[in-house]
Amino acid sequence: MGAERAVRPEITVLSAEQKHRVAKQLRRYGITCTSCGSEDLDIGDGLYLGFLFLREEQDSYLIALTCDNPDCLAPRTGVRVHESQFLDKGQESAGGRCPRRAGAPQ
Amino acid sequence: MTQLDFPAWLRVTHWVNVLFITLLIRSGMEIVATHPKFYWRDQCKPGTEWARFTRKTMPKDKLYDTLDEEESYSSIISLPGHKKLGMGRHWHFFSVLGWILTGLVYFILLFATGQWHRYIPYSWSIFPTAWNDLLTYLSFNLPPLLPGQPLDAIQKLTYAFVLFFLAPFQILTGTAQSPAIEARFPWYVRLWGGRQSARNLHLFGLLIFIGFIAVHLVMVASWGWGQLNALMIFGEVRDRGWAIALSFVIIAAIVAVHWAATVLSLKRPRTVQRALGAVVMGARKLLLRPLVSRQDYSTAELSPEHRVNGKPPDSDGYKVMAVHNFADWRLEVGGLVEHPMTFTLEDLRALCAKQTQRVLHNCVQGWTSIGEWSGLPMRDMVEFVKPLPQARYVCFLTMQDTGRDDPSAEGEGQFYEVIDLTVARQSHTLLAYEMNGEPLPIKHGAPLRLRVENQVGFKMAKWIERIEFISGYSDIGAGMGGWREDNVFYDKNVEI
Repeated sequence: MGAERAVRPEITVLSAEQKHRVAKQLRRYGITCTSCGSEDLDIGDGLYLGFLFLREEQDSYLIALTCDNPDCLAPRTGVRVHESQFLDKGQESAGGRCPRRAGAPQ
Repeated sequence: MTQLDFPAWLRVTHWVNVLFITLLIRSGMEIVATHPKFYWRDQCKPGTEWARFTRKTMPKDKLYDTLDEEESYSSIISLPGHKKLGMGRHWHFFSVLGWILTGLVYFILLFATGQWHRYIPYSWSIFPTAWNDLLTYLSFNLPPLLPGQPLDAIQKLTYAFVLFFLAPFQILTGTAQSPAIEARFPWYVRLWGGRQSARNLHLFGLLIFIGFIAVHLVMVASWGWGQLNALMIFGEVRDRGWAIALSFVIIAAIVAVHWAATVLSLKRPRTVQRALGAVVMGARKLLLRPLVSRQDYSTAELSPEHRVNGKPPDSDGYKVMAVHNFADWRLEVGGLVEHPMTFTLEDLRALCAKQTQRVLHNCVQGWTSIGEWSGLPMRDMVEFVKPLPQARYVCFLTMQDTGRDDPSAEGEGQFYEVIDLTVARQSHTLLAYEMNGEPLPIKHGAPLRLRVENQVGFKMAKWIERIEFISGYSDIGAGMGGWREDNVFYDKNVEI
């Protein structure tokens, strides 16, 4: 397989169940497209931030969001979630931790 | 037979040699401090070092870079000390040029005047004599000198070893650590057992030199400080009191040079960078610049782990691009070109056939690894955008904000590096978007980084977002040709 078609080495491919959990978080916290405000967001893969980036919390992931609105000027965004909010291991609750849009204050 | 006395040239080169060799030792320690770990394999896998001169431990759950591993040594042992690798490198390369020139003068005159008889043995019988001399020294007595010669047998053998083996050995193992030499002559690095083996051997040579100097000083003191310094200052045994006094004056002068070099490097690093850089630059451009990579390491030799120097851009914009596989990333290429262009990652892949090179990566700090890099040859990009006649350099601007992303780095601001247009056209200069057959990892510069295989790693800008063709770089940053040159006082051209 050519590298151009390969998944980036840092990317975590989300299962349907994991995407469902992320969607629940988006609905729960009313997260919409930062560009056009649409609620129709496709949930993509995840990028583990905790290891690579200096100021990220250890269990932090960025989930790719793509706005379905064809008129949206910036359809590709992301939302920061904690691993416990979408990964399979453990059943711990979000514990008050809110998903944050990439770019939202820490 | 030539009288084995102490002619003026021998006395002068002796004291000049003391100056250069002590500068080399201290600046060498500064270079060690920046990565105080030694390996036998070129992969430099963390934890496989056979020696370490640091107590630092690195985190396992957070990306660290090799700037985090750097040590700050005292100015007493290193020149200038306090994590100033740029200054240490300038002094090391300047001193090695001075040392080699001094050595050349010494060797030419040694053989031209017949003084080589003092060092080169005539008979195998010198070895048992030297053994007896050693036993005599160990019983705290002085052995007899060889007939008609200024040295005893073990001294003669030791000087022959230092002059004809150890000094060239240090030059050759130092040369084996030049990325340009390694790139053009990979067999030469293998001759020494690899790049890290050459680094180890260079360290062993340094330790032997330090040992030699210590024993030499003990010998001079044992045989008579006044007598031997009279020979090395006046050329004959007279005025021993003055000889002792003058020897300390000369040593004080050498210490003063070290002190001045240290203070100047710590307080006026830009001045030192410009002055010493100008001296070394000519030698680099003449000897090393033309060397183009002929490396082709096997896939079996690829390093499973590749250290990093510099941390990824810690910005939301970058992270959002990364999680979408850099679909929104754009590379702007402009400046002094006929055809300014903007490329997506797919554009770069489609622009021309991918070039792949398996090469040794040389970090300025001394660690190495072997990687396979694939991407667009920079010379193809140059042909595509067509530089205007006044374009002489290429500036690579990145998404890294060092103040934000890399607290271990001294300085702040957008990371950039400048290379000469002639270097951009060399066949090994690559805009890499793949590493080891996979998309270029984030920690190694995704989505695009530079590879210049005859230079050290910091020139190979990562996380590139813009390429600008320019006629000069004096008005970019501090005007030294790159972020590291501006802030850490490295040379712009780093073929060694």
